[in-house]
Amino acid sequence: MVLMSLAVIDGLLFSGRQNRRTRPVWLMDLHRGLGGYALAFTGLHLVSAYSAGLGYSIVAVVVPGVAKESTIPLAFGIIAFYIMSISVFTSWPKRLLPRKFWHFLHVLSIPALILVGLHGWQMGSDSRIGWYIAVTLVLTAITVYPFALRLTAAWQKRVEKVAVRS
Amino acid sequence: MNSPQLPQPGKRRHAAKGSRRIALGLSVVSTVGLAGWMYSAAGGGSTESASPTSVQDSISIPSTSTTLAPTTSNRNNSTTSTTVVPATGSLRDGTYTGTSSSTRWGPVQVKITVEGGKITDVQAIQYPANDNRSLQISRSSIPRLVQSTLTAQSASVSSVSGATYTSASYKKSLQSAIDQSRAKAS
Repeated sequence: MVLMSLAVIDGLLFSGRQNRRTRPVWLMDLHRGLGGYALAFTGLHLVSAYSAGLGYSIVAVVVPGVAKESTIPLAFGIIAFYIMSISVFTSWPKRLLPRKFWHFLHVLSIPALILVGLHGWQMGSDSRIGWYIAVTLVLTAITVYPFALRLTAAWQKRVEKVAVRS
Repeated sequence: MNSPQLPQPGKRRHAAKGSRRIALGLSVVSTVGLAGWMYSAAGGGSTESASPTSVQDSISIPSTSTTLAPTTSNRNNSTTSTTVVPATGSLRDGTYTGTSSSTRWGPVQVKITVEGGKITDVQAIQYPANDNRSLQISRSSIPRLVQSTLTAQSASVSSVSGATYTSASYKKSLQSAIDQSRAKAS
């Protein structure tokens, strides 16, 4: 969740059109690295959930809604994993895809992050411990800020366009 | 590198200032909202929202041969062997109470009944139930652990996801009870 949040924050802060020319190259590398590591560790998490003897079959950890216990929180996690995979793997053939379509797929990582948070909160044995709550709140604060910044910037731009037209 | 754009006379100097304020406000509101939601979801900070009596009344167990008794923190960890019948397996018949194993959410203690050398009944006489979340986890996990124990006839049962601490303490207490039964048999 931490890696994914940092990847999303990096992406939100530095991928804006106004930042495209001035941003350091390493920030994009960091964004890709964080996203890749987040996906890799989530894959490891799925493998360990299956092999740790928690009573989940291989089908239950890859198909949402199949698990008999904790069906909905587990489905959140599985769906988030697939969205993350789409977001990461479509970044490689980015130029082959229409820009708007790729962007739509890529920003799906934001709802995926919310699903990851819900999955962790509902299923995590440590989710009521102080440090977990503190980390979740800090991540929420620092993720919502750039997200809201991008939304308000887009909204202002739209308002300005309407003003120019009229 | 682009040269920084200088503000033009008559124009707003910090066009993004408003956006930053709105973003900061949304960030604070969402974080405080989430903190409030987490607080209420975790039981509203109440440490005694579920009394032991209500625990006993509300928990239902799928198997008819298993029971889940309420938390009683003043129970001792002594072994009580009530019935002694010659055992056919490696376990001695009787009732055995495992040691109380503590978790950060409360202690877990189980009592097993052995009949004919087999574990026929498992009771969780202590389990975390001090807040709504603990109660919810205990309600869902302990019956599964008990069912797994009756099937496996040992403490080698799968942990329940989301109840890692409860599962570990349950297995520890169960192993202790089984060890007592084995010790009597030998």
